[in-house]
Amino acid sequence: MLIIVLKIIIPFLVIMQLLPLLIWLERKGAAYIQDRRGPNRAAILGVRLGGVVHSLADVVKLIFKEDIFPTNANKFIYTIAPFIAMAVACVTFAVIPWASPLEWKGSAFSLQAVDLNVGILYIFAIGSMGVYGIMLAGWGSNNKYSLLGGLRASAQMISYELTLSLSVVGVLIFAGSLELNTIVQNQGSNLLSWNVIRQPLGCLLFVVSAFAETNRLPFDLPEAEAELVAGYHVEYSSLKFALFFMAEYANMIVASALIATLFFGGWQVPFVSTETLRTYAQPIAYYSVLGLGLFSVAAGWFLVRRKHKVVYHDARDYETKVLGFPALLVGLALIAGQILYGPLPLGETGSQVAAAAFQFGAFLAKILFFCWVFIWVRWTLPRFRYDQLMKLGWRVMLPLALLNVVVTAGIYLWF
Amino acid sequence: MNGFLILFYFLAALAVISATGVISLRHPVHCALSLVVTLIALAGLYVTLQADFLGIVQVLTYAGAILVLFIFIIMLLNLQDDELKERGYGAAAKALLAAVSLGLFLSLGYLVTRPHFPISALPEDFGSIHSLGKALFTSYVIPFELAGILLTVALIGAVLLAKRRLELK
Amino acid sequence: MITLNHYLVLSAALFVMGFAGVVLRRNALVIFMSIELMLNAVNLSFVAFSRQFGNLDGQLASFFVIVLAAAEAAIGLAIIVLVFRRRATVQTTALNTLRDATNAS
Repeated sequence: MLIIVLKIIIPFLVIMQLLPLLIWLERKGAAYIQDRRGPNRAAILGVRLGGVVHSLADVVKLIFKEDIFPTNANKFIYTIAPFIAMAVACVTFAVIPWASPLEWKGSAFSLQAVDLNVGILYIFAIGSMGVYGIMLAGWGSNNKYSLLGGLRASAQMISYELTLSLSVVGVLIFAGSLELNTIVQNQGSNLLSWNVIRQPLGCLLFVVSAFAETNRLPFDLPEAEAELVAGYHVEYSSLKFALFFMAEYANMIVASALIATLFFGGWQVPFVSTETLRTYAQPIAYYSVLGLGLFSVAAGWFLVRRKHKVVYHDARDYETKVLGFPALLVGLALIAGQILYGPLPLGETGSQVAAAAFQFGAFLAKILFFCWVFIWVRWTLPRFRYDQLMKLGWRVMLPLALLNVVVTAGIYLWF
Repeated sequence: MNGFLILFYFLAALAVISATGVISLRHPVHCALSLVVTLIALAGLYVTLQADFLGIVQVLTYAGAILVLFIFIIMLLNLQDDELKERGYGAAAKALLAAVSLGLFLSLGYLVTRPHFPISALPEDFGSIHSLGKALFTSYVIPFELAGILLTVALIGAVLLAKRRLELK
Repeated sequence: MITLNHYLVLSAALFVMGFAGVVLRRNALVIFMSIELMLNAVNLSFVAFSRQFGNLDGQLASFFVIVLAAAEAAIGLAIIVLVFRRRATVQTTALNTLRDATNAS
């Protein structure tokens, strides 16, 4: 019982920790692409962490803002909409596997909250509930811009859901199962057997539809700030707005995790199978901790030596020292510990856990990479016009997805 | 087993309460939302009947697509307040309707609970996607294809109906 | 212990409520939703019988009912939109052009 609760809570906490980081990444990424500096002012005792502290300042601002109810809004629907949006984004995470199942006393212990045999369909079903959050927000605010945003969102999400589900069928044919863990295991650790190679068209269609489902640019017509002000959440403020804001990023994480799981090998470390990882867990752990120590020392040294171009004459002048010295010391301690004690004996369970930790790291790296792709695309491409969006969805992507299914099934039967 | 019974009563109560909402709430959007709750409760009941796949399909297509279409249309029509006032029935007609409904319910309930059906043992892969798919593509292949034709016809019909331009008087 | 009768009685209750909705309401959209409610009530008994007999036919039947409901919703809503465009109302009482002119309200 405790284990199940932990398995449900830990992924949730991981997303919650990733959210402010992603918001920071979005702002810094936008700044980088537009050739400016991005957030660099908010500070706690002079520590700015390159702008990460700004996310904290945002949270404080949103909590203390006034919670506005539009006069003629429907109170119940207006209140419940952001909660639906956020809950849907969080519940989806339950079936995504984080690492290969541990074998413990002869029974497999899967590292995902719930091991459903309809895994991927569960995600689509819950995802299709996500449109209600946006629609109800649009309708409940009693605002014409919100209403237009809600209308656009519902039409867009239904249209692209078809392509989203159809583009996965090829993957399901190869895996012969709907369970996400089986799909990951079926891809293997060899990069050439990942579904992105076996299903290039399916992968492209899935990524594009995932952009549309998460309402990110170039498909962010429901909020389109240039035309609809902010679309469905124009009336929202304070924590309700924060929920919508967080739901967008949580959806992004879920979409990235799905892209990684279905097409990029999930938790598989490229070219290193689970058996190899488990057999060589001890040296791998030894050298990676050593590498971490070296990296920490290098980063600390870089920070400590760094000269400021601007002198603020307050606590911010010492930020690099405050961050650099601990990093240097921790790095030195790690290296010294590893050299003095040598590789620790891990044992059967220990090596499994170490392998799972590596796979989790690989999965997290993939998720963050795809989140970066989302951000990258957002600040690079312009928005679609509405008729272009519908034309792309129904006349281009849907026929291509059907073609992909037929061709994949044909190839699978032939060989 | 007791837990299942509690779950059943919870879902059944949810379904009945939200169904009452569907037929009694004034604004169509509220009715549609009640119907969504009913559909999700029914999906839960399907899962208690070992029909997991059907439960998921229920949420995916019924709650996730058909009802979204309903709400989309309601939002598109943007009904005003005077449009929502229904010329309802009088108290006598309502009482009559309630009596007829109650009678219908009692007689239906009586009829369906009278025969005793023995419970059969379940096959190994009952309700799994493999067994459903096998049945769908072998013994039910003709209805399956007909359903596909029906959906195509509906799609074309909907496009034709919606595309026709009418000059408003 | 849940028996078949539990599900059948619930199904009957939902069906009767859908029936009452069809008779009681004048809004075409709500009538439509009541019909969906009746379809779902029938689906529930299909699935319950399927579980009782250990036979998948019932589940497949309700599968086809869902397909039917999707087609019906597409066409029906298109008709409602057309009616609304022509009459600017969705009240079924307003659709009385075929009525005898002397009795027209």
